[in-house]
Amino acid sequence: MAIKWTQALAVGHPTIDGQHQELFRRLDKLLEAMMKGDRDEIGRLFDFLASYVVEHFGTEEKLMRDAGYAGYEMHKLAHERFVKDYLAFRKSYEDAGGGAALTIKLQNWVGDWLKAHIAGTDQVLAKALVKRAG
Amino acid sequence: MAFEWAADLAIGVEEIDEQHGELLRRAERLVRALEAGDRVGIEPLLRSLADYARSHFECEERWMLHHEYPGFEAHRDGHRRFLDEFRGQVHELQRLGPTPGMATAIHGWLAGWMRDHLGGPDRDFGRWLRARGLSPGC
Ligand SMILES: [Fe+2]
Ligand SMILES: [Fe+2]
Ligand SMILES: [Fe+2]
Repeated sequence: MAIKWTQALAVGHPTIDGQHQELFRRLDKLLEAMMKGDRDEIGRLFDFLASYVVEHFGTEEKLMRDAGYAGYEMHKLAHERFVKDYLAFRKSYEDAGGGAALTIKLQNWVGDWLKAHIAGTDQVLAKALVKRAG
Repeated sequence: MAFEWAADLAIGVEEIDEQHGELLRRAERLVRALEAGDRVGIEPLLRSLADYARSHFECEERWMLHHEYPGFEAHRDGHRRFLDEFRGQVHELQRLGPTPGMATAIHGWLAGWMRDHLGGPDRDFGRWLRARGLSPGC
């Protein structure tokens, strides 16, 4: 059970790529803690990720606003939906108290979302930002 | 007649193509009534076209958000423009009545919009979906 950032997910914008790598690292730790059933660690990581995700999305959204980026709204809506789903996931963890099925669900769901979002939406944004910077 | 389903307007995504077919059929019915000067018939046809257009746009926009389509905003603006212009046409129609001039104006506007939008932004979206093996679903 692991989730890894790979070079294939690099979007070519140092700030964004750095934050994505941190996101994957922490997510991997969360998966590990869930496998072990380490409840304190799980709680800490859930908290950390919730605020880190908001910070990361905020960074991207600020970059978009500063650049007058045309795809801002759609991108922001995608982030908002993720945050909502993440909080719902956390709640289902708290209600159900973990378990292998939930861990696998987290890996698949967050992993797939991140990969798809980074490879599509973030990639398009990074290209526009890099191009704009000349 | 300008609204017959033309194969070159198909974007290759079945669900969207079906909705476009229905949109064109409703546009055609409206234009026929306008050309016949059918005052009583026009009113419900205007509403039926506007309602269908709105739900079709919503459906496309939902897919775009779902798949995080990069062209979402520009595309949605195109839909909004259509609905705004549609309101403008209805307003004119109420002011002038279903005159032959009005029929020609609305016919030309509708045909042009359908050709440009279906053959432009919608085609781009269809190509994007197909390239990723994604399908809509709403
Ligand atoms: Fe993003
Ligand atoms: Fe991101
Ligand atoms: Fe359409």
